[in-house]
Amino acid sequence: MALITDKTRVEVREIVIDFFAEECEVDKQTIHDGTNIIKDIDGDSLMFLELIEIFKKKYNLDIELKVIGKYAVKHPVTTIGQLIDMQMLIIEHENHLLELER
Amino acid sequence: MQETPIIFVFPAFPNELTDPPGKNIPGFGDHFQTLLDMALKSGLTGLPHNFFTGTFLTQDELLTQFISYIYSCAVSETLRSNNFTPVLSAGYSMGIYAALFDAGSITFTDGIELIRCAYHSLAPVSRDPGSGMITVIGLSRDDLGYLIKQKKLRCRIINENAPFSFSLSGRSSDLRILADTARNEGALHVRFLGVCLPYHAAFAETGARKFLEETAGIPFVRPANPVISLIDQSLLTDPESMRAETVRNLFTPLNWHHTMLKIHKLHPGCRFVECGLPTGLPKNAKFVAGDLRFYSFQDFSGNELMLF
Repeated sequence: MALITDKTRVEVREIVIDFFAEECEVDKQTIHDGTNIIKDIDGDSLMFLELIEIFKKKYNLDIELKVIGKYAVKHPVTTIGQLIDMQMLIIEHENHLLELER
Repeated sequence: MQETPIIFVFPAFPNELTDPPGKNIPGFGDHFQTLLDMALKSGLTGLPHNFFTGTFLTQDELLTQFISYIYSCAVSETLRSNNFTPVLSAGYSMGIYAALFDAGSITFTDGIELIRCAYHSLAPVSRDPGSGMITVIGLSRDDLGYLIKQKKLRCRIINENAPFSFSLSGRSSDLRILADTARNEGALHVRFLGVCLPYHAAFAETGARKFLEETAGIPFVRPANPVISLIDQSLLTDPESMRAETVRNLFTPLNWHHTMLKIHKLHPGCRFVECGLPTGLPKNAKFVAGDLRFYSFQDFSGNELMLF
């Protein structure tokens, strides 16, 4: 369980936007919270997987992919803003993510 | 001109395709047309006349395989005629035939015949009750194995594309059950592939035996460069091992992730080129540690082909 600070939020946003700008070959100035990852910038699930690995390494997270998958079934991610929000929750709650449902 | 070891990777076949790349790459159109004419002379029918214009989509699995093969062989000829010579070739799934052609082990028209025989040998396996393939991203091999066993499903993992990214073949109805269960168990993504045969699964063994009998007259010769097996990552260098690979490729699981790791170990710093219609292989390469560079055919440019 990590403490989320303003610095973390800024950092996560920057990583997510830089990542998709590079992967999808788009100008990062055009990516915003409302950007639809699949429809607007042609992102895909393998990119999502890669991004999770980046965060796992950076924040030394103990999180199983299937925990994220189960959470995503009830909280689908379609936009950059939703992805950033989910990533913050993953950093904060790690493998306890599903306990937020209870 | 190439400076570092280069690996030609021949993809399987796409489910759909919009605006096939390559038409602007010098020499490609001529190679493609020459091979297309050879295919037509060999008796192939139903090929689209407007291949390089607009959207191309076929529901005909066999026709798609033929077109993918012709395209891949044209890529091979274009690159080799521009002095790009691979240290080895790899055929991903049904891309094996283009890899064998590229390495010089079979002729172009024999490749067409092998594809035709493979399809018709496996087709009876599929008719009743119906077969197919799916990809699942986000679950481990153990997770998937457990679900298959628990639900007693007639489907099998037939390829590890990357860690937590698997392809499965089997009975369509069981794949649908697996897809629903996998989603509930936390799979990030599940996708049905547009195929009707259970490629690379043990269910196809009977069909593979028939394929062996029907292709016994097709000659294989020693290749110009090794072809790597996606099944056990061995290097195939003689005609008989090439022939045997075409048979076991039909009913034995592959491991593309291990294959990339093996190639990278054999040729550190090598460059991979996806020699065919885009199917997303470069994306999987990101999950292999190290300096792995994977290019698409459209990454080549210039009158004298250069790789960015």
